[in-house]
Amino acid sequence: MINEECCIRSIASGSEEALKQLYLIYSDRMYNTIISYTNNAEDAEEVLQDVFITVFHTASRFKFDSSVSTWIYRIAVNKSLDLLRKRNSQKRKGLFTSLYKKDTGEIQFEISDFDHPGVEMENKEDAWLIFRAIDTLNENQKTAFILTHIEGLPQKEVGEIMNLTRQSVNSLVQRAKVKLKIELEKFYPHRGNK
Amino acid sequence: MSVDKEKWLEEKLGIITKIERAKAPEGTFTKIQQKISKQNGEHSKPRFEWVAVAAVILLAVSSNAIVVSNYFSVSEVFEPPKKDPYVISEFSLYENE
Repeated sequence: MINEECCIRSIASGSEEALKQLYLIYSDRMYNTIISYTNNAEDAEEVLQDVFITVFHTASRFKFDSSVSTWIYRIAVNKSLDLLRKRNSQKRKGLFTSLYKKDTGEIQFEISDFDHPGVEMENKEDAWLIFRAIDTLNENQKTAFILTHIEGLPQKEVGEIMNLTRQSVNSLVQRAKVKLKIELEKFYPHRGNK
Repeated sequence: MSVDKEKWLEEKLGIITKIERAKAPEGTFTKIQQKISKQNGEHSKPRFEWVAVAAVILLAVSSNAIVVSNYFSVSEVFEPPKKDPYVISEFSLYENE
């Protein structure tokens, strides 16, 4: 078990070996979180690289006022949300007008864009619809839901990552679940009725 | 919403827990290292455009400095040329005519 604080100090002085140590500890966790936002393996890898490059360049500014884990999660969440904002603005400005629903202007995500290595083939359609529903949540609801339900972090830790109280996180998760059910009901209107 | 529907939706949401945790692709750290060294190279080596801009600015500043220093080195007092004693200044060529 390496001392993460020492590791950060070494990274701050330019040690790529220390960065590798930190990468080995956090890369899988970060990748799993990021792919829950991007729903695409290629984009998730790009964001993962960006996260650790940011860690390398900003380690000297880390003040140790939170845990290293919280700090890295914050970077990963912010980078993922940045990618989604960029992706949405590119699609809105793009030429592919067929991607939009004519009435609402809402973006339609195709199942072919969905590439999550953790999803088995037989569950792919259901998982895609759930992630599509997650994508309709606002940024805070999405982050609270992903970090608690997909990443499995305790609400207190999620609160530290999001700079919110545990109660606020709980409230965001509850609202997210209500919204997700409404969205899922739209996708499967005739299911679950006896 | 009916109880059955609610239960069914809960089950659907539960699929999330069945998703296996994704692992970072192999070779990603090498790509990170490559990007970092590329960025470091870009920071240490000034771009050609900036070198060109700096050269033009340096040229303009030094030309102005030369012009200004020449301007101040020129004597303000006009000294008339010394008279050559052998040069006849008053030619009375047509005096006897």
